Amino acid sequence: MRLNERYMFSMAAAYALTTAILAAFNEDRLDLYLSVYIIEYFVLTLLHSPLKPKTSRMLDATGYALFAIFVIIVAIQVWEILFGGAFL
Amino acid sequence: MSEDVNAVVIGPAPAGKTATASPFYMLGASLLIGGSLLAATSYLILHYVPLTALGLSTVILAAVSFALGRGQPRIPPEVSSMLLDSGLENTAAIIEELGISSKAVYLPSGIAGGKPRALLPILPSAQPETTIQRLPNRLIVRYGQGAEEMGLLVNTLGSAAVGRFGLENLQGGDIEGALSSVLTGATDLADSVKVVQSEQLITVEVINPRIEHKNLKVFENIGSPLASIVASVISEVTGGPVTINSESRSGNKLVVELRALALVSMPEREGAM
Repeated sequence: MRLNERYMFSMAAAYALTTAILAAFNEDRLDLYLSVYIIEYFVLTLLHSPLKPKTSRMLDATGYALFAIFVIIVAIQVWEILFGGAFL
Repeated sequence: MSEDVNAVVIGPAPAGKTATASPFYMLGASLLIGGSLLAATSYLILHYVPLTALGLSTVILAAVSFALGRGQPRIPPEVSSMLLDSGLENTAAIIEELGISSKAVYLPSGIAGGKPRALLPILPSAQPETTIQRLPNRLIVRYGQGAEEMGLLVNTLGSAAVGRFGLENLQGGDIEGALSSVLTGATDLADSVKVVQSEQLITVEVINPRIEHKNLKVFENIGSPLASIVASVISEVTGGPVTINSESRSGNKLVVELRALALVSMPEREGAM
């Protein structure tokens, strides 16, 4: 199996497994699912580096977007801890 | 040339499609549409978080698939194979016409006029050992003080591979990391690389190489295409000349043994041929 295919397959497997495990524990916090997905994205991308330069550039852009989402999730959690109640 | 140069084949058998028709793009589009629909319906209608999360993870997979699609070749691999064939044929013709039988010395970009190249001494007895001056960017060069110390400075597949990856990413790094970056990352020519170094001898194991070829006569001088890439990368990383001692294929791996030559830099000669 080539590097590209291994990367895609391992990420799909990781996401499916994560969803199944969290769903089995009756987890219904969407931000938790997203946080785990984002961490898995960065770990698996790092483990499969280096990829082709064009691929790496687009994955970097995706990584920035996911990191921004992660920061927003953390900020909301901090807001809720500091000021209590739901953010939205 | 008695050998069949057309025997060089880049495998596995390609589909010959452009990047826009790449399977990764098709997969990405499918995942994006499917994931978006799943996330929207699960969140708005079913109000079921695990399915919503699954839809969002599918959208992330779509982005990854698009990214992988961008790295697919834009020209059919058959065309690349033809370009490789013609390049090798030209190099082989020059070497054969000049009756050169010496082994190539792979030089880093700092010595070889801006990019890593292979120096083929015209006389085998004048093999450079420790002293190679900074060479001009020409085909025929004088690399030493003696009148017989002349050779051909040719581009190899390794020159192109190293140039494609970027010289600044290789210089001063570790050999195994650099080879892995070029062979498994930038060019996808192998699954993995192992390097064992003992003093001047460097043994490189390339696992599952994806360039196949017959033994052409020109490979006795410059090494096989994969060995050429390995030698160019090592030369660039170490910043010194490297020669290919031997190469052998056993099972699914190619073993290349190289020797790093000690380098004594000399200033560039004005008017060198």
